Amino acid sequence: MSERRPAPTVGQVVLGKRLQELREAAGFKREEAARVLRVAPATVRRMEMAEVALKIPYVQVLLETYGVAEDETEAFVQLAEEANQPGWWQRFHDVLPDWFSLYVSLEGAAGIIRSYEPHFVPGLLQTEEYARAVMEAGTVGQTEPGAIERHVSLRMARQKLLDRPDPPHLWVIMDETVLKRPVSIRGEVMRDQLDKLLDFAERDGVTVQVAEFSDGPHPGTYAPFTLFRFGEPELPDMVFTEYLTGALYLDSRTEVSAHLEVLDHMTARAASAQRTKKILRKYREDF
Amino acid sequence: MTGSDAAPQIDTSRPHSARVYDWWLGGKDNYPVDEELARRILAADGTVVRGARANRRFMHRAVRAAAEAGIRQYLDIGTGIPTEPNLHQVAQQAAPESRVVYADNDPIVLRHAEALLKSTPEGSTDYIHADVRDPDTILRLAGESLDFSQPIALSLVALTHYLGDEEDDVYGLLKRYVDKLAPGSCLILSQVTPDLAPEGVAKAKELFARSGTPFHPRTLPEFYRFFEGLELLGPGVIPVYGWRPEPVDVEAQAEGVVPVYAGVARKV
Repeated sequence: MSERRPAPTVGQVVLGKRLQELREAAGFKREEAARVLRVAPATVRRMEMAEVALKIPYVQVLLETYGVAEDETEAFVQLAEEANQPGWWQRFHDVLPDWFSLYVSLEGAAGIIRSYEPHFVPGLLQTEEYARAVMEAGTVGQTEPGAIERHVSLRMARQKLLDRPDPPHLWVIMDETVLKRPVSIRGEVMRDQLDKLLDFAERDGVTVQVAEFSDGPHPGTYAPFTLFRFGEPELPDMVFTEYLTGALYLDSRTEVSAHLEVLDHMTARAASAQRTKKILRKYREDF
Repeated sequence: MTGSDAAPQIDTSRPHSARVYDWWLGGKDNYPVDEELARRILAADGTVVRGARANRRFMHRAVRAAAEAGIRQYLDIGTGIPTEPNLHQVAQQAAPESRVVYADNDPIVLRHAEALLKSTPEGSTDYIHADVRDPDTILRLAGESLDFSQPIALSLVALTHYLGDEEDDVYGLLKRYVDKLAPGSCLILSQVTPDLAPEGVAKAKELFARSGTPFHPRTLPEFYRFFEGLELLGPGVIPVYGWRPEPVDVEAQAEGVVPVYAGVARKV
């Protein structure tokens, strides 16, 4: 009788990874850690992989076994308790695939969100009408109008993030395609969307850069992706990349670094934030 | 970002000093090639992580000293990858109306600064994409937001050791900047020296050179020469921890030697 568990929160993912690092640093094999807890090695693996919630008594015993200092143990336990709380987005579970639930969680925990958007205005900066048009165009075979409205509501709810007192820094590189291919034949959808983009581009916590066609090909022309950076120095960056039927979360140094390098090349080549505002204004007039 | 608008040459296949530095500071804006060199230098010279942190802290103290002296304009050359707190944060905490210009020759570094280093509403931050070896460009563009008839604090923190006496004419170069400054301006400098840890620094120099980055540690008299014609502020030219240390620096000093000299001087 297994209860279906919601997708892991970012806290569980990063704490699981930290737990693994601490075990390895202490020179313990998974089997040895499992023996201390009197559980199967798979249980330790599941905790490290965030496949199960972190059981606080287990965490305390493991950290003690690994020789972790008392203050770090306390901080870890506190974070684990917080990580085990379900997020606000769980109420959208009907339309939210597990892989996207983690995305929303990452978004809320990040200090810096850097993304490359080849096709659309990033979700966090979309107007409701624009979001609806994107969803309607993108949901092949999913005809339930209710579902689209739920998706739109979820997207709008996500945007509250940027109005938090201490919002993450959102740094987006958008391909010029986004401006060239309107999502709707109604001009006001794009006009309102560009107004919103221009408003947000004025905020301190938002940086928008357009990769212009005139720059030629750039190293990001594969797929959209997002890199999350967390405030805590010990947490690694994570990369999220989406495909038609799912998504990948990458956290190995090699893969994260490859994405970071591509973003850095793109950011250096794309129009500066200042010039991007001029470009957006010009497109705004044309629509 | 102002400066050259031509498509920048970007080579991330080789280590870059700013990203190596970022790794030492515990940052995440570096790539495996940078990490590899950073680790190798750290293995050869155990002082580098302490040195990088000490340079950052010196910058904070020197900027606070400049602010106390009434300076409200800053020109920082060789800014590097943003690391909190950044220069404008320190300056604007002391005086929110402070105006800061950051200059760096690396387009990636500059874009990071541009995206993440945001001014208070009262002050300003600007970003120049230009090389320290091109003072005409830097001074011209800095003049768009700074008033050179008023005092400016010019900072080159941990930068001059990448510049050579001959090939870059580092002394002549610095003079060209200082000549443009109004009386009451400050020069803030720190750089690596062979005096305090000769073996480690020699190895670091060799590793940097092998990766294509010439490295020029300087002795006390050589470093002192940068301040010729200026009035050194107390305590003069000194190992970096000793420059007006705060309690945290005194603690850090106990961790061991840092082969870096620092000094701040006023133009009279």
